[in-house]
Amino acid sequence: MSLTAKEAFAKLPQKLHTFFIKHPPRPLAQYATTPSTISDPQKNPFLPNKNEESGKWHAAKYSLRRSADLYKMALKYGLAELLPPIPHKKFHEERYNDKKWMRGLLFQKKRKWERELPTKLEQRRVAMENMDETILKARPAYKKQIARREEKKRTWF
Amino acid sequence: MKSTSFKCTCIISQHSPGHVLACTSCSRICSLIQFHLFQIDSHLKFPNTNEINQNLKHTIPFYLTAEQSFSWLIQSTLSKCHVTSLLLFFSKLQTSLRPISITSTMSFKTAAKRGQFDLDRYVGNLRVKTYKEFAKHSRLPTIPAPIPTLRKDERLIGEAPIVAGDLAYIVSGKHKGKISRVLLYTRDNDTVLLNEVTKNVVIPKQYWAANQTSHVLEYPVPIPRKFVRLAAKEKDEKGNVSYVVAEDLVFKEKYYDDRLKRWVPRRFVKHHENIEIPWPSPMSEPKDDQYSTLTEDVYNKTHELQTVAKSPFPKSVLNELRNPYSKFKKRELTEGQARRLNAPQMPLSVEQKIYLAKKAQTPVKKLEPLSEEAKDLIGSRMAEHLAKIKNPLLLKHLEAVSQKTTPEFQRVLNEIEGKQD
Repeated sequence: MSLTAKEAFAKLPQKLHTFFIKHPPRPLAQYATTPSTISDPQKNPFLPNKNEESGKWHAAKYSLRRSADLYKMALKYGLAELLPPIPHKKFHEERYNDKKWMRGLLFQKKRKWERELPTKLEQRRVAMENMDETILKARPAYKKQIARREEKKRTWF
Repeated sequence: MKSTSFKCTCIISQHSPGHVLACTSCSRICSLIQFHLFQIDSHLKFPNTNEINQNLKHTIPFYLTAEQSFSWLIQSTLSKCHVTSLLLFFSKLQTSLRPISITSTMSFKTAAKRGQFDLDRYVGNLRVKTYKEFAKHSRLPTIPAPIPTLRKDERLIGEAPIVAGDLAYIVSGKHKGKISRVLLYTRDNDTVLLNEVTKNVVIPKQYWAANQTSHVLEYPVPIPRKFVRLAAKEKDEKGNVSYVVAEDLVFKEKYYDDRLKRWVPRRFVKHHENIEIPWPSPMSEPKDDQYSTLTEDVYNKTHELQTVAKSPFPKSVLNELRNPYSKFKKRELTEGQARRLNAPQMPLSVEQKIYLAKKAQTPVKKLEPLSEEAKDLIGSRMAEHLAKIKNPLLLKHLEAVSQKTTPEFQRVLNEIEGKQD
């Protein structure tokens, strides 16, 4: 059962209705996404605006709590896009998706030797593999020892 | 003497009847009820003891605070040292009267004690030094320094074991073994003045008493009470006189002494409680003067309450007592009171005036009801969204949320209507 536009509008909560009377819905009115001046017709009621004459900033007409209230209520009725933009706040999943987590929450810090251990082991492994070349560089006579080792090497045949 | 009494009159003349005064020695507070100026010149002559007494009686009652010093003066004028005691009295007067100012948050007692010299704040040797320094100003240089007063907590409480008129046996010092009559017991420094323990003191001629013929005056020396014991005279049948000396005393049941006109305990020798030492008769009988109440007036009953049903006051007096015309009982405010209750409006500054003029020019933002276009937009979006919701509980929740009313919405609607009207 789908409602008509008029029937659906009758279900608009009074809080949102009041807001839309004061600040018409988005496509019919344009709102700035950044703080503006108080004389700007497109000033955003959720953002602070500057009085250019006195140089003083007027606080946002709607506090963070009230703007969150309005946004969440509008979202329930599918009207979130009609509200003036709230670029400085994120809600629900969006808030958690792009969240910059604390490093301590993401991984354990450990002690310094513990943190450096995997790199150290890798370096050691690589060094052991290339040990012959390293020794050869320092001691050229080592090539005889390598040759003897090659001779003595056990094979299947 | 001249300078002392001159200063004294100055200080007295600073105060007028109705002033609140505090005594620095006893911290008692009272208001000055009567005021007589000393006739300095006539007093400088000091005709004789009686005359001084007579004059002082007429001049002293101007205050009540120095009641203590007054009684002390009367006693001491009878003794040998009336000249010096008068000096002491003047100096005491000089320091003991001062006007006090009281702030609303302060108690009367606190105000009286504020900023005054208090010997009790000094301890030990400093106390003795300070006392002697102060005492210097109140005596002739030939008179030996007095014994410092005791701290309040060290002072004797209750009945004094030895009083003026008693016999005292001296137990120590140069006069050990003497039995002498007590002239005065001072509780402040716990000392006695004895009739026979005196010192010859040189008095300048200007301070001589009328009947004085020599520069040398016998001046009683104060002795601490610990160096004397109470003694009593006994006469047996043969007329032999013997003395009883009490090391310590025991006070027993009180009786009304008609000579002293008060209730006093009987005193007995400790551990020999069959020996009673009676209180001595007062050294001088109180005399009536212009301020004393007559005996017949005391016994004259002027008022007696007969019944609680009937008011003790005649009706005509009530208005006088209650004062219906008091300014505190008026229902209407005077112009001055009203002015004080309503703060005046602050004049506007130039900047404020400019701002207000500008504000009056800018049109007031009018609220309009939502346009049909907006209603349609919102309605269609909502219908589209609600159609997608399958959860009946969420639908129920949204239904409940949309039912909720807010006072602000009603206010906005009224504003719109009010503007339209």
